[in-house]
Amino acid sequence: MLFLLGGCYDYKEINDLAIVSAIGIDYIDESYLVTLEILKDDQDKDSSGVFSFIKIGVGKTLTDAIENASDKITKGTNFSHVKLMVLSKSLMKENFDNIIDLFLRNTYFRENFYVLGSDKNSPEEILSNKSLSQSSASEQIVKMFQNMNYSSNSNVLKEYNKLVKDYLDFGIDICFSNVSIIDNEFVGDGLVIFDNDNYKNTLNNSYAKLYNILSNNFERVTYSINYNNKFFTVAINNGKVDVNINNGKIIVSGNLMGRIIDNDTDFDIRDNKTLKKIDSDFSVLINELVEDFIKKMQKENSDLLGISSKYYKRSRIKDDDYWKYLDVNSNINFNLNKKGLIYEK
Amino acid sequence: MKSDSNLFIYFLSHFLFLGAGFAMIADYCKTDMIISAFLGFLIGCGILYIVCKLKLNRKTNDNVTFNKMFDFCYFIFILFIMLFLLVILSSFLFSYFLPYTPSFIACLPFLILSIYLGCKNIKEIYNVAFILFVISIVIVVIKTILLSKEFQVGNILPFLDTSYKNIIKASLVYSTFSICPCFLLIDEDISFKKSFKYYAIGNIINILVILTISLILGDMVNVYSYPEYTILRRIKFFDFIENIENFICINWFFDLFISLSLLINKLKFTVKINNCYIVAGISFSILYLVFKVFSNNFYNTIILYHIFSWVCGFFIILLIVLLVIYSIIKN
Repeated sequence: MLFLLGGCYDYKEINDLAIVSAIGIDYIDESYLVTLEILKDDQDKDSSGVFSFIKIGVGKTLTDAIENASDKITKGTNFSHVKLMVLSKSLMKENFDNIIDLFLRNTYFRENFYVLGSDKNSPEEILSNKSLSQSSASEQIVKMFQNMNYSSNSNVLKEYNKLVKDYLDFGIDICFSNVSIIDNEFVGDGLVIFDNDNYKNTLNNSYAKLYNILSNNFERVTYSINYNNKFFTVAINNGKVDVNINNGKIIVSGNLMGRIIDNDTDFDIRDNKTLKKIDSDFSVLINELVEDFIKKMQKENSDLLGISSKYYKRSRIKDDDYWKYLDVNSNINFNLNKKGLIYEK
Repeated sequence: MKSDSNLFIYFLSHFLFLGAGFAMIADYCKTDMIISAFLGFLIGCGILYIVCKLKLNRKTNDNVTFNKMFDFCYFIFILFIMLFLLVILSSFLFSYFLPYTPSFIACLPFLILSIYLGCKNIKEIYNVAFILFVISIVIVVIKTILLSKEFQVGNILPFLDTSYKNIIKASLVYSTFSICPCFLLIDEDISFKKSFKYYAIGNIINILVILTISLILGDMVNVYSYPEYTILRRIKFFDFIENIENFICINWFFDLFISLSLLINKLKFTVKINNCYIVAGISFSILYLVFKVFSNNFYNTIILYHIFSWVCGFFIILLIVLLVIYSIIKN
């Protein structure tokens, strides 16, 4: 009991705290614009949603802007439950490195919140958009991105501490998902990529899916092949891929497995020859896409897969430009591992 | 239960690492911490062997001048270690638990409890320490299991990436931090065989923590002041066990608590006054000094951190020399 007495000195009732659930950071006219999403504590007990309101602060420094927003709240702001940080395109372009130190240094922030970019909408628009369910924007966005694992799997939901690690580590560049509002609904809208702390581009969702495959962080990535205007679709759900530099080439190797999602082509999946052809076609498709993705990375100078880092760990040569000029050779084997519930329609 | 002073070595070989030892070693040799920890452990074992062989068994009819000189050195040594322990405690509480509370108030309940236990005899401290030892081991095992999901072997590659000079420096720092507080027990009945057992357990735990930190943080290991606490924030088990770092770091407080109680107990016997109020007065004065000089002054704290390993090294040499002189006088 005596151990805990020290905590009584600056004790604050939970009712006197404004719990911040998300932070949006924008950079306009050389000023930071911070949007705080704060959870409402006066909601109806019968409702199941999490409701919130936003406060906006402006300042020449990030600290000024956060303080400015906090000053507008009658209760004491509490940042230890922040779940999400949304960054505007201008911030990512001009002042991305400024978000690293502040949130890592301060006791008030836990560094395990998710970071998303928003290149089409401002963080204020994102966090004030209530969508149809009217519940807290951050709650909806985080759930949506988490559940995308089981739909398109084009989500790259990264925690702040992992982002900072990639930022500080040698030979790996950072990336995270981009969120937009379309027809008043949140959508996962591509992959924001960087070269060190320089914003490079926002790639489309198909590149985000490939990134998930190549970083071995996928649940269900779907691909289709058109056979005479009829589609055969598979979902990659298992396997492992390795990207390394070998003999002056970037070699992508590994095995991926997937289940049949849609056999519109009416292929006879009892026939081994047909299965081999499907496997071979999808292997070719995946290898082409992977090679295209790595070439895109080389063009953008963005080493998302940490190729330089892996090369350094194997050879002890620190050169983060070497990978950019190498040819890419992808040798991924694809195999169907599950057929679904039926043989034929 | 029969008292066994060797058990205290487990706690004493640990407590200086929180917020000081790990961060300092990481600063020297980043992901090669594990190598320096292992080397440091071997050096520590050697020093422990010397201490156990040159056992201090003072009697009242011993050389009075030597006794006075020894008591003075021992007294300063205790005060210095206590000062550093309270600096560690106050910085840790300020950094993560009570950022708005003055460190004097934050540490006060902890110190009162330690004075209460420290003023009892060594057997009672042993009884508490034994229970906390078991709980501490269980917590470390749970921590490691919960964090194993975050391990990435690539984070510690390539091996031996830092210079040999830095690895040796770090291993000396490690051995100093792990063995120096154990000198508190030089007048206790300790044998090398038993004390090695607890020293080894304490160091295995240290090495396990270092391995966990390196496997999770990689090159970021020297970014944080408290890497051992920071990694605990990543515990996320089945998405329902999370945010438990404040609870699961309790074994650090156990180490500090037992070590502080032991320091107070030794202080009581060194000043040779049975009145606990004087010992309490000295302890409160040190806490007040920490509050005034170190808590709100990062500059002073950094100076203390820089000189600490040197001063510890000095005390190790001084106390060994005194033990050698004592054994020569005795023979």
